[in-house]
Amino acid sequence: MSIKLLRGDTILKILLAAAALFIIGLLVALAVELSMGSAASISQFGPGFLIGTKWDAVHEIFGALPFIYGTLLTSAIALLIGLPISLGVAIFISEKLKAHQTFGYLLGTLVDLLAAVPSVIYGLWGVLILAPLLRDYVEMPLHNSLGFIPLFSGTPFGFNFFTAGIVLAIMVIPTMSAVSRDVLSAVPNSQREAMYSLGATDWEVTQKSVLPYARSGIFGAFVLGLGRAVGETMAVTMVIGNIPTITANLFSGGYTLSSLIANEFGESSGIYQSAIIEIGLILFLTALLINVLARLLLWRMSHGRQVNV
Amino acid sequence: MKSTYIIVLAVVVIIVIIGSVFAYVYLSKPSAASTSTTKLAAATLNGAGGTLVYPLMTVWQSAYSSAEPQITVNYNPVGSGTGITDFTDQTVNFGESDAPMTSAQYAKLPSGTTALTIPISASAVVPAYNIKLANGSYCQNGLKFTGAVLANIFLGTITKWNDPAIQSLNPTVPLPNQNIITVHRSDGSGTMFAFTDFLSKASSTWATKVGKSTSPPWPTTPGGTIAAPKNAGVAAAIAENTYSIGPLEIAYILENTGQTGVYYGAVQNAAGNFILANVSNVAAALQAGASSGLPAGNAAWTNVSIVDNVYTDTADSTIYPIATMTYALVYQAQSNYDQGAALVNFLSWIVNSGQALGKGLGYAQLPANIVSIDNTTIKMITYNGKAIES
Amino acid sequence: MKSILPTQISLWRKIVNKLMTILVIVAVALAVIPLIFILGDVLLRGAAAVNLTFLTSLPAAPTSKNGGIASPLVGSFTMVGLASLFSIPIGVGAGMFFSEYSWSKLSTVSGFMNDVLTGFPSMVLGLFVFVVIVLTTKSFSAFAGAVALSFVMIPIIARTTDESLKLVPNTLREASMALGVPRWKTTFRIVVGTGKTGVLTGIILAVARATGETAPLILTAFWSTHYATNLFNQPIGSLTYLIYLYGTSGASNWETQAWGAALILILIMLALNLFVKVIIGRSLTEARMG
Repeated sequence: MSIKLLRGDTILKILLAAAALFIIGLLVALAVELSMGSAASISQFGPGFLIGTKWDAVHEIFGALPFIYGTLLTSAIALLIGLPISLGVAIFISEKLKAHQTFGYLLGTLVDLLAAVPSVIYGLWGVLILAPLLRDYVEMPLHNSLGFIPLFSGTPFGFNFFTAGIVLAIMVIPTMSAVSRDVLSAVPNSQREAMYSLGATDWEVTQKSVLPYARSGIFGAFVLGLGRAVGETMAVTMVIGNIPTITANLFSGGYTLSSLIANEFGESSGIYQSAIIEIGLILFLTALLINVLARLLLWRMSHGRQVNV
Repeated sequence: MKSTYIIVLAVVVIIVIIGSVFAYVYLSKPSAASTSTTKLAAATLNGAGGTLVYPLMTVWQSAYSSAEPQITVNYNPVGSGTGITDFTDQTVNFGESDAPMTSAQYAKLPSGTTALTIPISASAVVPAYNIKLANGSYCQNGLKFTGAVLANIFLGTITKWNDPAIQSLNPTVPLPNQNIITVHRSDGSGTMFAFTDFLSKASSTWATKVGKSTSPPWPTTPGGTIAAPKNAGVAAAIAENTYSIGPLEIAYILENTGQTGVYYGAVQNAAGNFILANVSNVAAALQAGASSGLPAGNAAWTNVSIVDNVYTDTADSTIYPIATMTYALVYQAQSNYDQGAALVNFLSWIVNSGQALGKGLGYAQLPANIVSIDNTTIKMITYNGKAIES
Repeated sequence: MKSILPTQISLWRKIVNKLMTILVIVAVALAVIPLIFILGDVLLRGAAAVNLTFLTSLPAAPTSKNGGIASPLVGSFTMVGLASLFSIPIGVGAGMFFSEYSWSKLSTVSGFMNDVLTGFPSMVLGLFVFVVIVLTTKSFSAFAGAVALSFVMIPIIARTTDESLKLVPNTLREASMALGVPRWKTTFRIVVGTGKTGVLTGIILAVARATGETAPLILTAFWSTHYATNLFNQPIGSLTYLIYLYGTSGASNWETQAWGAALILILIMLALNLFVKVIIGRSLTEARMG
């Protein structure tokens, strides 16, 4: 190749690398800001902050554990419910509706609309409509019939981990299903045809040929959904009950890291504010940890990396 | 062929973006012919503070811009704490708070500056509830509470609605044998400061265990506890859970769209009367609380508490005991003449002419004694050492 | 497409197939039901408020029935537009780097950081921009708000761009370069050209997300009911903040307006979605590889 052409390549590479560097820079800057702001709290409370269970601003006793638990629990519920549903929608649109492309677009657009609903509307809707509905038609029956299981043992008031998890699930479905849909649609038909010619049923084609090919993309969808679930603040704060507690009881009020920041940052100052910034730092580290674990999981699952034909 | 679509799309998107950006320049209307009586230069005032006063503030903004169209006032209800922080950071012209600045907050002010505290409106906290009585009907406004009973309910020592402590105050009401669900604010609030202040005075257990604060560590009560953000969250939680009780701001409940089933109770004052809060008895409480004297505007207002002042006031029989003021915070020495003059004019206006506009929204008017203190304080605002004329 | 040897499929496999089909349909139902609920609710509560006055007047006090959303609507458009200007190049660029130079350490590290960034609470991003831009310039601005929004958008665009471009078969790249097309042209024309549906999906998702965000704007764009004449030194209103303030205020006029604003927001997103899909929908069928 001539030098001129190489230069174009180099320029592009530099520009793209700059964009990638920007992201690293942004994250580093965020981490630095968070660390600086929480320095006072870290030096005063030390590692006990991470395992402490009490949060009392008046007496200056702070512990982050209930909030970490809340974030993990609500995100887990959201993804456990949201991922299968998103995949289901994606599979339906890309596999079953192949002959009805317009209907597929319409359904897809409809689900995507959920992404356009602002968080605060999810919160208001959650409070006014979903919470009482869930309490009366889902939580109460579960409590009455299966109350001996620790998961359902508390009296439900509607503002608890369960409701927050459901609201989060609804919020992450549009993102996850949109990305999954695209990814599944992009799987070449040759993959499917090969399987069919071997005598596979529709589901077997999907399960053994389409999904593995799209594995990386689905993981990407999962990450985006996870991101939304962990970071979502407004909607969760309105329905979770905001009680710092660690319990297996899904019907108990709970508290997440981001809700705590949203609720108390504005009124805080001094060491109290530093403690809240440390909560932000912990949220950052929690997201980091979850991402590391997810990547490890993906790496183990994809030992036979798909061949890019 | 495909690339044509892309190019068309890109061009349209760019046009829309640029169009919106330019829309600003062309849409901003030039100020109408001035109807102002003073010769104030055009200025923009930015303020940040509590959510309580926000509806009233928008009424003020609207009326004031007819009186002085060249002055633009922006107000962002970010919360009292952030309002004070923004004021300290000097990113706003005035801060607003439901609780006076603490000594720690005074200490953070830029050196050499003095903050003026100017009460601009009033608020009160009422115990709101949703109770289905033993006879099947919903308990209406006016269920009677004392401070001690409220403290015990929120501490969790009184757990049932038909507890003798509550029943004895309300002998004719068929209270149900049900657990009390307590609801409280999950976010910090200046009015929660007033409420917990009142509870601290009524119950020494509350004072030691919880104390008074904008974000108190509310105990979890045996009958169940829910915390929700903002008055709206608390009201929704109460509306959806029968047998619940929680503190709400009076303006919220009076202007409310009507959460069905949510009513509020009467609280006993120092004179022994059970008072159902309204704009008059809240204003009266402010008057009584201020009569024992308020600090000068440029002094520290940290210990100012209407709740404390009226707690032992047995003489005023009709005042509501959990009343509080909301304050505007400005720097005594202004660095920009036009903004300083606008500030003086605006503050003067809301403290004098603006008060009457709040009645329809449930805001009590500042009593005369506080208005006169405010007027004195506003006269302290200076530019280059000279007081700015109102 | 049915198998050509139907008699050779065991009963068990047939049952599993049917079961999964049912489950998939149940999944769709579960996804669509809350959608209908929410959209229906917004429609019911908001329709009463929406009329021409609503769209063209400035927000007013709760005592007035004639308040509108004109200035916050323009504000949201402007800030999301500006944010897109920042975030699309950076996001697509980073995504391209992740997929085309996936062997490089920079790509792995940055990709990982990008994933973490997607989970960042937008409120903290807003606080970051507050400290970096607002405190240093001592003024709130549309620019600060747009920067905060772009930090929300970039990771989403980068991730989806990466995934879409990764799915473009290597044979296309190889064929293009074998014909002598330089790498950079290959990347733009062939790779991005083929994967553009996914890239656009990512951009739409990011724009939808940004349009619905409130927390990052509170301390950056601040709040104003007036049009902003300068994007760098004065507060500006946004539609989502209006929904938040009015929806939780308790004043009946304001609450109706909040739902009306939400309805408008969703209608705009629907229009954007359909518009983009119509434009690229034609080329969608051509992009499918056989």
